[in-house]
Amino acid sequence: MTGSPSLLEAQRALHRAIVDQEGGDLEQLLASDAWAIAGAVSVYRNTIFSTLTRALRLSYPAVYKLVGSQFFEGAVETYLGKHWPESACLDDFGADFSVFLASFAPAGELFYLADVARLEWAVHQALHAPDVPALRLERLLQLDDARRGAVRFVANPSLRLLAVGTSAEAIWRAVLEHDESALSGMQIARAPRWLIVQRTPDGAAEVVRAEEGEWQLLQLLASGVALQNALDCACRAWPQPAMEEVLARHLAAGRFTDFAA
Amino acid sequence: MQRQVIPQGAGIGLRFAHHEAVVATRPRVPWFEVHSENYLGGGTNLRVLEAVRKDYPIALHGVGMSLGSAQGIDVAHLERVGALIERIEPCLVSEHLSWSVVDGHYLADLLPLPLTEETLERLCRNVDQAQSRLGRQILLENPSSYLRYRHSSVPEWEFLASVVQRTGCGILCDVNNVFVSACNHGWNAAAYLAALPAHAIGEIHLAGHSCRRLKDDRVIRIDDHGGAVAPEVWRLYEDTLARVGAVPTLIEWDNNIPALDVLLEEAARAQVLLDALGTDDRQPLAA
Repeated sequence: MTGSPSLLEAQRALHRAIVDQEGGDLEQLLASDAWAIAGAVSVYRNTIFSTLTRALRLSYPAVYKLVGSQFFEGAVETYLGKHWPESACLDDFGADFSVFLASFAPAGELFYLADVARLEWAVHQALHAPDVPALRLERLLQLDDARRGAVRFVANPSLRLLAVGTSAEAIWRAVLEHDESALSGMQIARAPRWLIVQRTPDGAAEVVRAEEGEWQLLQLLASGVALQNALDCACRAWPQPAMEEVLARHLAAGRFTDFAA
Repeated sequence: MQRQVIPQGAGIGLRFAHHEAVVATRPRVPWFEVHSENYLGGGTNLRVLEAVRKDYPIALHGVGMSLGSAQGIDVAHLERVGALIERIEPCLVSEHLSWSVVDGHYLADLLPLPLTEETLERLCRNVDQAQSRLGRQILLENPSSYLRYRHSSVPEWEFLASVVQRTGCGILCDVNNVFVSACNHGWNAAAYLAALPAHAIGEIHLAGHSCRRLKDDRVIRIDDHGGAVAPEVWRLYEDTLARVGAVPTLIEWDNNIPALDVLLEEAARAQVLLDALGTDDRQPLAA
């Protein structure tokens, strides 16, 4: 660095020192000796890392409890090596933590951990989604059959549909409910599970296991496929005698907030 | 619409840990302040804030605008804060004299700025942009810092006064930050406070800090908001009130958060000092 650094150069230098621990040029930049600079940078680094670790711990409470604080902090430190928050809204930070955990070698034996993390992110998103009133079913009933079959629903912003390959939901529930007997006797399955996550009117997150057919129907509807097409498609692939009843149950549960006829 | 004005009393920072207690007990406190970034989503937290705002004046205190960023402020973040302001209609909106974003990376802390003409220009442009989008004046909080830049050419108190003069923003005077920075950099805290333009101070913050001993035995003071307000900070606060008059004051406590009653006791102590000033004809800053 020659002459007075620009504001951007100064900010990049401090960023390198804090994040990458490359503080080589700081003595030219800062009005202190090496000891004081190192001490001050470590204060900033500790504050930032502890803030981000706390943010992830709040988003992934079951993962945190499953692996313990020391393992979790080590995982977060490695994660931060390639995943840095882009926004000051830390509720948005950590979306791909489950992808990271799936390939994080020290967690290799915990084959269910990434699924638990995926579920926790879905719960986290459901809890922080915008509040939108559920669809009033009378509006749907006022349409004739043809128009009703053509409607395209708008999904509740808090609805998340999640397919996992393990019994992650049972693990997640037992961990957060401190159900030691369930955990100790649990046979952790490697089998597909179809989960529906949504915030309830009282603000809690509800996680429901669904049949594959009903989950696929919701998936089609949530992605904007017209009602009759979605029903036909779902019934062909997963024949169920009462798909309309299934649909009625989910409409009553507020899975959708609006529709376009 | 006439905006509500923050009472010239002592409020407390509302944190998640106290949501239930505040909703259930409706404590006797004149106002609350929250961190804007904690309420940018929907769900329970926002519902609690909307319930609390029905009974108490609210101030929104941002920690993520990064007004000192050389590359400008994050417009998407500004929009989200703007939407929250429209929803909550706070009495005061404040941010920090600091930076936290570079090259799209958000460093989750309030980092110090080199105090130069270039920084002043950039910061004023960012403050102008924020005030223009938000449609209101913001208060700018003086930072606590552990580092200074060699090429800083303007004392922090003069820098802050220049930002006020150029942008029309107000000052959120954090007395604990002044004390922490003064100790860390060898400044005179009383002189710093005396140099701030009194008319621009729209709010005062009080908080606790800690001390850490460095390897060479020097002590660094850390603004961790993890304890009670230090005696030296209370004395500086009294002196500040004597100079600027009654100003809405906030007790901040963000780490090792104690029971709500402990915060209320700290606020009551500040309230006694405010009350001792008697009736004040100072006009609140325009919101």
